[in-house]
Amino acid sequence: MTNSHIDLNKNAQSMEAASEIAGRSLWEDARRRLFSNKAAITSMVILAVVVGAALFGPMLSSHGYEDIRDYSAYLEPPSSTHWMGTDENGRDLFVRTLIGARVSLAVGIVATIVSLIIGVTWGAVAGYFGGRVDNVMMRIVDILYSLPFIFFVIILMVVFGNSLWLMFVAIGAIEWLTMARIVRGQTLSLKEKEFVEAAKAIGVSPLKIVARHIVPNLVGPVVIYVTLTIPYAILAESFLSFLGLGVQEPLTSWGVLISEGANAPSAPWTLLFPAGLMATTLLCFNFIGDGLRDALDPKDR
Amino acid sequence: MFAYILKRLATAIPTLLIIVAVAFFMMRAAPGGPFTSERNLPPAIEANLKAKYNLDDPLPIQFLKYLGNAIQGDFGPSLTNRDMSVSELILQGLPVSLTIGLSSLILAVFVGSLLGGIAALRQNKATDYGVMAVAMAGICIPNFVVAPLLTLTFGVWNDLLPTSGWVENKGPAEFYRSLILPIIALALPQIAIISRLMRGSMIEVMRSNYIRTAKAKGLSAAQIIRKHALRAAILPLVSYLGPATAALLTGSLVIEKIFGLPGISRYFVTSAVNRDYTVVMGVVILYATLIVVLNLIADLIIALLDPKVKLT
Repeated sequence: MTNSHIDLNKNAQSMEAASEIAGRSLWEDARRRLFSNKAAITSMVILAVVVGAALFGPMLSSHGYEDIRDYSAYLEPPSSTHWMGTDENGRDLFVRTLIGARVSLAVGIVATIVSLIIGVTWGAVAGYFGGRVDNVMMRIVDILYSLPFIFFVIILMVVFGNSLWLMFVAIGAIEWLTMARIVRGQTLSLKEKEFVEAAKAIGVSPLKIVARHIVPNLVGPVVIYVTLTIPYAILAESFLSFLGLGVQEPLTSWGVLISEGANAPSAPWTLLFPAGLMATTLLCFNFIGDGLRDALDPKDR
Repeated sequence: MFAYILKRLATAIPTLLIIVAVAFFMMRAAPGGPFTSERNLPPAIEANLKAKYNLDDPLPIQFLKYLGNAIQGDFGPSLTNRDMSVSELILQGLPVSLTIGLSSLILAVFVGSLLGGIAALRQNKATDYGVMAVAMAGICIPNFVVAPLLTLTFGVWNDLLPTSGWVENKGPAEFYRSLILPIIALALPQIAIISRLMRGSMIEVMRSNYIRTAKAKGLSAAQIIRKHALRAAILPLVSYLGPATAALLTGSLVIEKIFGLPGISRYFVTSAVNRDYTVVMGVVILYATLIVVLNLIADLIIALLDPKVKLT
C-alpha cells in the first residue's frame, strides 16, 4: 500500500533520470514492485523450502512413511532418530508430515487447475457474449454461491468412495465461482478495447477472439486469484480428511495428521508439527497473493 | 417493499428446489441401495421393503413423493436408526447446534466488527497492524486446528475449562462453562474474516465526502462514527451474513466432532459414513434452507439500510 506508493515515486524519479535508456514493460514494473515486497519474498523463500522438503525430504530420511518400525516406539517425543517424534503406530512423523505435504500441495495445485479451467472458460464466455447468455450464466453462479457446497462434496465422497482424483475434481469444482466472476468483469471491459474491435473487423470468429485475445489479457487478475485459491483447496482437502472422508491410510495428508494429533492430547507434537507446517504454507500463499495484487493491480489499493 | 420480498422469494424457492433435486439424484446415483449391504434378503421381503420406502417407483415419481412429504416436514425414517424418523433426529440435535451456532455468529459479528472498526480508525498504526496480523493468522489456521489447540491449552495443560461440551447434569454453571471453548473455536475464523471486511469498508466510508461534511460542521468524532459512518460501514457485513452462516455450519461439522456435542452436524457426519441417505438429505435440506433464508434476510436488511438499493 504505502510501500508501493513510495516505490512508485521512486520509480518515477529513476524513470526520469534514465528516460533515455529504455521504457519498462508492465511486467518488468510488476516484478520490481513484487520483489520490493518483503513479506511476499520471504513467503516465496519459505514456500520453496516447504516444496523442496516435500519433494526430497522423504528420500533423505531412513524411515518410510508407512514403516511401523517398533511397536514400543509409539507416540515418542521428537529425538535425534525421529525429528518430529512418532505417531500412535510408531511411524516417523517427520516423513509422514512431508508425505502429507506432498498430498496436500498436490490437491491444492490440481484442484486449482480444475477451478481455473472451469472459471476462466465460464467467465470469459459470459462476459464476452453478454446479454441474455451473460444473465443466465451469472445467475447460475449466483445460485451456486448460496449453496453449502462442502456438503455436496461430502455426499460425493460418500456415494462414490474415497478416490483421490474425485476429491481433486470435486474441490476444484467448488472453487471456480469467484474466478468466473473476476474473469467476467475483466472481459466486459476488455471486449470494448480497440484490438478486439480490430479482430472483429477482420472477421475472426467469436470463440477464437475469446481464446486468442481475451484470455491472454486476463493473466494478471487470474494469477492473483490462483495464489489465493490454492490455500482454500488445501483447507478443503484437510477438512475432508479430518472428517475421515478424504485421504485414506496408509497415505496421509495434513488433515489426516491433524486429526490424529487432535486425538492424542498426551503427545502435542503430533498436532503441532503438521498444523504448524500447514498454517505456515497457507500464510505464505496469502502473502504472495497480496504481494501479487499490489504488484499487478496497484490502483486496487 | 412487499413486491421486493416477493421477487426475492421467487428466486429463493427455485434455489432450494435445485438443492433438493441435486442432493436427491446424487444419492440415488450411488451404486447399491440402502438394503444391498445387509444380509441377502429373500426377494419378496426386499420388494416389500422397497415398496414401504417408495423405492420401487420410477425416479421422478420418487422425487415428487419425497418433495411432497418434505414440504410437510416428513423426511422419512432414518435408515440406520430404524425406530427414529429423520425429523426426530434433527429436532433432537437442533437445540445443541442452534445454541452453538447462534452464539458463535453473534460473538463473531460483535468482536469482528469491533476489531475491524478499531483497526480502521487507527489505520497504519501499531493497533491496525496487530489486528490485521491476528486476522491473517485466523484465516490461515482452520477450526480443526484451533479447537484442539484450545483444548490443549485450556483443558489439558491448564485445567481451566471443560473440553467436552453439553454437560446437562452438572448444573447451569458447568453447562455454560462447557460451551465456551466450542463457541470460541467456531467463531475465531469468522472473527478474522469479519474484522478484515469491517476494516476495509470503514476505511472507505471514513474517506467519503459526507463524513468530511460532518467533520466540517463540527460534529465530534464519536458522533460521526455512531450516526454516520457505522450505518454505511456495516452494509458489507450484512451481506456477509449468508456466507458466514454457511461457514459456521461447515465449521460445526468438525467442532461438534471434536467437542463431542450431540448436534445435527455430528449426525450428518456419522450418517454420511454409514450411508444413511435419508438423514444426509434431511440435514442438507435444512442447512440449505437456513443459508437461503439468511441470504434473504440479509438482502432485506440491506434494502432497509441502504437508500441506494432500489426496491424493484
